[in-house]
Amino acid sequence: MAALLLSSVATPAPAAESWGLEDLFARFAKIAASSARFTETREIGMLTAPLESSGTLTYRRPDFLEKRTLQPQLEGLRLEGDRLTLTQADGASRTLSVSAMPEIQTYVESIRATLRGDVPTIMRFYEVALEGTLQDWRMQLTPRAEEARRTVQRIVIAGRGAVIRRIEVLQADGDRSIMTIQPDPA
Amino acid sequence: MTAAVRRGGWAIALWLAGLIACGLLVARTPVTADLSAFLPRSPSATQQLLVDQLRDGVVSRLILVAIEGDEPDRLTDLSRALAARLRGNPLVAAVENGERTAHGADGAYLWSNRYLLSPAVTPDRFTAEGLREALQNDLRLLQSPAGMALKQALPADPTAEILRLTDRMLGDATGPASRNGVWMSADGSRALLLVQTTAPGFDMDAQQQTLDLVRGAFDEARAATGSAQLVMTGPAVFSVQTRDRIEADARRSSIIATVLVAGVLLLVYRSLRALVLSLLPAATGALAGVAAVGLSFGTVHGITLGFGVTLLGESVDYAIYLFTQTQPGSPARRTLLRIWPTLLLGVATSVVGFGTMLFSSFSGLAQLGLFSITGLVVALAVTRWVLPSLLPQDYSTERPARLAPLLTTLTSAAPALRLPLVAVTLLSLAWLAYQGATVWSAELSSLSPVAEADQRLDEALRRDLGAPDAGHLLVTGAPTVDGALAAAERLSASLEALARDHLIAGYDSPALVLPSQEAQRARQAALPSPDQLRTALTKALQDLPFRAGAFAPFLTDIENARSQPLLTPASLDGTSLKLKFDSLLVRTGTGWTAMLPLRGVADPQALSIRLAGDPAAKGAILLNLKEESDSLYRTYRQEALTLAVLGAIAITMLLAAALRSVRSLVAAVMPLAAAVVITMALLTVLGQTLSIFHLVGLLLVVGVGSNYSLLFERPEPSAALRERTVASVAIANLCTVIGFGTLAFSGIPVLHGIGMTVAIGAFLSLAFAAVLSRRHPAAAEVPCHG
Repeated sequence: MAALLLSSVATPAPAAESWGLEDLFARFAKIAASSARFTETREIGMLTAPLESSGTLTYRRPDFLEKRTLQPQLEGLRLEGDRLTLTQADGASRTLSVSAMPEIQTYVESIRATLRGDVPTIMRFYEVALEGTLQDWRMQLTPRAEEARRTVQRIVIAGRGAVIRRIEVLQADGDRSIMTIQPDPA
Repeated sequence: MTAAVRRGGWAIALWLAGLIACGLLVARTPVTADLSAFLPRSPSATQQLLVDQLRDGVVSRLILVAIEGDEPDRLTDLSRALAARLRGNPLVAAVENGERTAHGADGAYLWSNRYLLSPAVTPDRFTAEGLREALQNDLRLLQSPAGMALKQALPADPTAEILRLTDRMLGDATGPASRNGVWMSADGSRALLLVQTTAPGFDMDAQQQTLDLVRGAFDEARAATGSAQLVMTGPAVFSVQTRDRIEADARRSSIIATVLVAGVLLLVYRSLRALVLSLLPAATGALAGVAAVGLSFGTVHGITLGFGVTLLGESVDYAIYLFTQTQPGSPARRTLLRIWPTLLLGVATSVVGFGTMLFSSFSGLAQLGLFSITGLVVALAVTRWVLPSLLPQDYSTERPARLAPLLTTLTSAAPALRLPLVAVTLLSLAWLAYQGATVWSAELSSLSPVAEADQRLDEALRRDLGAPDAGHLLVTGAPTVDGALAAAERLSASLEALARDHLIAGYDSPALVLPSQEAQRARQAALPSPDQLRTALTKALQDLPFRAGAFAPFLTDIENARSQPLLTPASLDGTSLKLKFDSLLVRTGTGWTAMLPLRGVADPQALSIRLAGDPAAKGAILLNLKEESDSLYRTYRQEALTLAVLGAIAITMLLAAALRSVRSLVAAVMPLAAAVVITMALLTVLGQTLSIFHLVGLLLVVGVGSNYSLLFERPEPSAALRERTVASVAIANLCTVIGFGTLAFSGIPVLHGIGMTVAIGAFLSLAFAAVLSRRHPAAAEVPCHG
């Protein structure tokens, strides 16, 4: 009986190397700034065809994150501390407090907390399931707050070491977006 | 003799009846502590708005609540629990802590009434071209980062009316930060709530009940565990606290002052009876003063009450003069006849000084004036008609043997200080002239009886809550609610233009929350019939990648909106928008006033020029709250200064008429003038900025001081009487300094200011009266008498 219990505890851990969220996030925590290009595909229920867009991503420690969409039209999302600024193609911008908008916060914190290597924040917002190896990992985030789960069902972030390669957002209504990321050589 | 006794009996009966009547009146007079008592009674239209807002505007009903001293997650739980306990209580109009419960109701109101609320609803918007433009916008929106959150609304709202509405409501989103969906200070140290009371700000008992309710609910929510603490600020909290504190301070000061004054008198008279009797005029005067104020104003302000203590200082003097100057072998009645003209003149001086304050348009100042006049006249009357009957036939006091020689030496030596006194007076004048207008406080807040620490806490919470300090308001009005809303709507075109030109960052208006009936009807009429809309939508959707039938909810909602009942103020019940609506649209007099707060006013002058030249803004008033309240205060101070100067002139004229001699007049007035000038200089050197209350204190100095110089100035028949006169003045002065000195230790800025002023000023008046007194032949002739 005791042996059975012991073995069942032992099996789920990856056999080859012992690593976890702390190890992965410790690597992210060492990075002061990064930039990347992305392409994003959105499948939306009310549309007959998916929407494609592309642009750049910029991150600076500790809490600056910017997503600039270049195609098909200029658009910006800038996160600085608690303030989220959305800029439209015509230059009109709107500033929000992220913490007051749980559905947006759920989305942006998944990326920002990961880039920052902030374990407490990511654990506060999501139930985290990490799988794979440090060189090829997949992190599945399920929002803890019921309010947020009504919009975002699940976010899956995949990467290699301290580099994010792909972010998939599955929404509660079945719509999904997949963002593929190519880090800038720098 | 029997006639005198009978007259005395009548006087005592009258006095007792008066005491009972005053006692009854006082018991029925409520005490207030709100600043508005010190605001004008017959103000201009803009001042009236300001005063109304301070008295019972929504701002005056807000309680800012913070919960601090525990883990952030515990704090947010407590915030929810406290809000849940408070919601629905009849004392509480609204509780906001960032939770979605209120926002849910707000969102539902905006969503289901969007076609009546949105100013973008025009016939053009629902043509094929208008819809196609909207749909192309929607595609861009779906692609944008915000699309994920915003797309849910699109099937029912392709023209994005809700976005337009929430954009306005969000403004520049300077709301507080939050955690777990509850408002939290940015550093996570306190959870924040806003409570709006049902009772108006000036209803202090109801405010007190509400505060107790919040405290009780918090204790319940926290239960026995937890280290969290409750902090509250806001106008209501301040008034209740201030009322309590003024009452406590007034009580403490009067007890200390009474004990000290009683001690001094006991030392001097060595008779308990004389002590009790000498306090009678003061006590009667204070009671009558409060009763008179209650009778003519309905309420008595806490500050006026606090002032009551101080009256003890001046009116106890009369009895002191009477007792100390009554020699053995000569009845008190004779002393009274001898000093009566001087006492009468002294009281007349004070009455004239305070009398000018009766004409003040500020009820607080008028209260102080009425209180002082009534108190002094009653105290004098009691001294004149009641005391002698209560005194034993052969009453006299011992020669103040220890005090008298010392005082005589001091007074005869004092004139040597004439030159230094002149020098110090000139120096003080120069200092005051050099300081100029800066010695006077220029801000309304200097009248605030709120302690500085509380003001700082309030500022900190306001910062955390991101509550904008209402700087500029555009105000318009009409006889009816709907008329005022229409008037506010007429201003929106001008305001949009101002925002485009960056003269303002944005604005708010009650009409954004509830449009006028006319505007709602026009919007309803702009909505197409179901057939028209279907045709237009089909045409607009051609070649766009939307799925067929995606906009079915839109067709239904438009159809419903065409026949929905128009919105009224009652439609806002249950939303937090009601709180906003009620604060922006208020009843004033017979009509309704709409207030449109302007955000981000960079150049007030350019703004007011633009508005003045705009025909659409005709009839609207631009109100700069801070400037308006400070200018209100400046008028107030100017008026008080004018009254004080008039009072000084009246006092001088009165003395001139009574003394009938330029030399006597100069001798009576000079010490007072020097005392006032040097006291002002001393106070400013000590770092105080002078406010109206200091001015009132100075008036009191003149009132008390005139007695000193008149008594000093009066020729005495004998050296022994002269000696007694000097002693009586010195004792009276000591009592005054004690009375006001205890006030100087009050934590309430106002009471502290008055206390300091009068304690210093009264002492200086006496010293200067001695220094500037002429040598009296009677005293000079018999220096070795006795």
